[in-house]
Amino acid sequence: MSSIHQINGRQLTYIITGGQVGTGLLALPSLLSQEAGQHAWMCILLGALVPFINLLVIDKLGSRHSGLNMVEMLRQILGKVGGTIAVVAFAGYLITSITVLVNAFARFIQVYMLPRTPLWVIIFLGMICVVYAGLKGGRVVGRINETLFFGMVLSMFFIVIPAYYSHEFTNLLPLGELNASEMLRGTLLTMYTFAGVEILLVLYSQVDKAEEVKGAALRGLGLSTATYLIVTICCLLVFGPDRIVHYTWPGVSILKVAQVPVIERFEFYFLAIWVGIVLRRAIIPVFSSALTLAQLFKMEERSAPIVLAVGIIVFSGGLLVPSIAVNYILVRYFALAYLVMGFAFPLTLLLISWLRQGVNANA
Amino acid sequence: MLKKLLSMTLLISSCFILSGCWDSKDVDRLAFPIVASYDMFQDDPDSMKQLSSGPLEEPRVDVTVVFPNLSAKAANKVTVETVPAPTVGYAREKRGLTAPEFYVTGFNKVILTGEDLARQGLQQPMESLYRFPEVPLNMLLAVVEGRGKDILNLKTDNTDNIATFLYTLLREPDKHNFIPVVTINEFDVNLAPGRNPVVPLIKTGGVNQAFLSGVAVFKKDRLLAKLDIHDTRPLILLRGVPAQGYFPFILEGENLQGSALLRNKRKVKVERQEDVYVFKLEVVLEGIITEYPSEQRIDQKRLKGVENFITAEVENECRQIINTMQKEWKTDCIDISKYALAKWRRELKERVDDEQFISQARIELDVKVKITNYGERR
Repeated sequence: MSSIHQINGRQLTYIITGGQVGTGLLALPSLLSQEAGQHAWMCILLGALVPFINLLVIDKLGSRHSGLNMVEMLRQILGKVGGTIAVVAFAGYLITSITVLVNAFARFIQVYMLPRTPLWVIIFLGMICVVYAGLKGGRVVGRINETLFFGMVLSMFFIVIPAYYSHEFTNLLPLGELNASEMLRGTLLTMYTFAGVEILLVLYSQVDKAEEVKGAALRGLGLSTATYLIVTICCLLVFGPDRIVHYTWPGVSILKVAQVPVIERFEFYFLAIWVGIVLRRAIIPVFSSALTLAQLFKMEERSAPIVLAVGIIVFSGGLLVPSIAVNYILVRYFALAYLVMGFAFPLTLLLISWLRQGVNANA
Repeated sequence: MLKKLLSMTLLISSCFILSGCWDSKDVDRLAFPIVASYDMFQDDPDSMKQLSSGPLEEPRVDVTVVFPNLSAKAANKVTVETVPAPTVGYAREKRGLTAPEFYVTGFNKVILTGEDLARQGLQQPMESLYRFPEVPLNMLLAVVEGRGKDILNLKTDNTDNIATFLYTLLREPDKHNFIPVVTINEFDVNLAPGRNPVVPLIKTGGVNQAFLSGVAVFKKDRLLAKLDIHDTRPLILLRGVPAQGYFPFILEGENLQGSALLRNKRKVKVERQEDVYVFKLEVVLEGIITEYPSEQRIDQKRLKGVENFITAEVENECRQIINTMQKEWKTDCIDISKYALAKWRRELKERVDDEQFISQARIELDVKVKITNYGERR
């Protein structure tokens, strides 16, 4: 394991949270209410079960193949050719997912902060930060996430304040009108926001103490789930399940409701913090995919060209999504892609590992 | 050496970029509207209708804005400008033809709508406000008896300009009257099933050229009725909008009138008895006596007398509003249907706004008044 990529358990917690919480958080309440009305927040709790199982599976897989990085592990389970193909496919999945995310980030910035700045400039500037962080290695990525996590906590306060002043509790009721198909559709939608935990597959071998991985990763998931719940419940309390669907990013629109003396425009302070926070969502997969490819080419110590190449691919891919409407369609596909590559893929690996070496055997 | 040179070049070049002054605009080149008014289009001789021609340009709405003149040499403190346009959002295009300043909508504080436009429906004229990211959702909203444009063109000597006066007027009326503070977000969330907005009403007159004359009751986005100050109070009490205001009372056995300052609270319970929805409303008023012009000392019995007087008055006023609401308006303007939705949302969502729902509901009212103090004198 390369020392520049080594992280500790606490950093893993923040990396898992940072790898999940992005621009999608601000759109989530609207998308979920469209499917599940006042039960939107319940979809989050149900949805959290998938990454929860996902983390347990990856942890089990990692502990069975301890001491091996992802490439070595996949080659051990699937054979050299199968493992190599799987590594490339997984890195491809991560890179594709970031392009959708980076495009959403840039469009969000364009709407609220830089309406006249060309999309490519916003993506380019964002990617400079992402690539720079990626070049510095896993340890720096861990520290960035550790620091920026507190910005996320602060931004949650911004969202709670408007809900405190103009809430309507009946917006969350009744609880008992659950419709299985609506809940399922809503839960499926949460997958695109819960996607990100699968990077543990890459990062497992980078954590200094393997016994801390499970606890740290689950804490990270818990923090993400709490964040989603806070934002969704606050937005529901303010806008209600029927009006919230008219907003693209209710997580920001809610800030425009607040009447706070002196501060006046709450959303500008929030956005200033959020720009930094949201980039974590791109930094982590860019770093993870680059690290995977670096491990494949045995370039862990000299991963700069690969990080740069991934950055260029993401930048170009981010420009290909023509509009926010297309982005929303891609997001739904991304939720499915996560279920296949993020969830089913590690589960299949674990099953194969069990079949080949026995359930209790340490590979 | 090369590294140092590169760092120095980056540092110097970033100084040029970070200043951000290349496309900056001086403040006197900006126009910050403080109040805007939307009215039905009226073809006045001096209107700027000549800016509109073609099938999609037919003016339907007069958009009037008030913005301060930031130049020290300007003769007028504010500019009041009306632009006719087919839609409110499209009026920005017309404004670019008449006002050279860069238009900054993010500072707007108040939206007024003329009575006629409000009767036609406000969802369409106000749509661009919700869509435009720069516009805050906490802008205050009021309906003008007549045309909003007429109020904005009035000159007031007591405040900086009519715009700042209107903002002050609408910002906190709930602190001394039973008039709600309504933002454009408040209006929008009240368009949800089972809910209907109520908006402050403004009229021309008074020492500052405009005053709060009551509230406008809406059926979804359309103005349904105008209530004067007398009817506004019971409506707000029934609606459960937190406010405080003064209540008059007659002293028992004496021909003297006093007053009390009371805050309101509301509790609603709903149940279904066969096909009838029964709403049990409890209006609670709590506060202090502010005026008791009698030589007699206030004892427990007299206090009870005051409470009973106000209870009877409020109950009577509230019943009249409930009666009008169920028989004339047939629209839930006291915001109780949401409690039924909170129990049976799936079942009621489609029919909660039907006239039969509220007109056939049974509304039971219980008013409680509690005087907790009577000031420095006994």
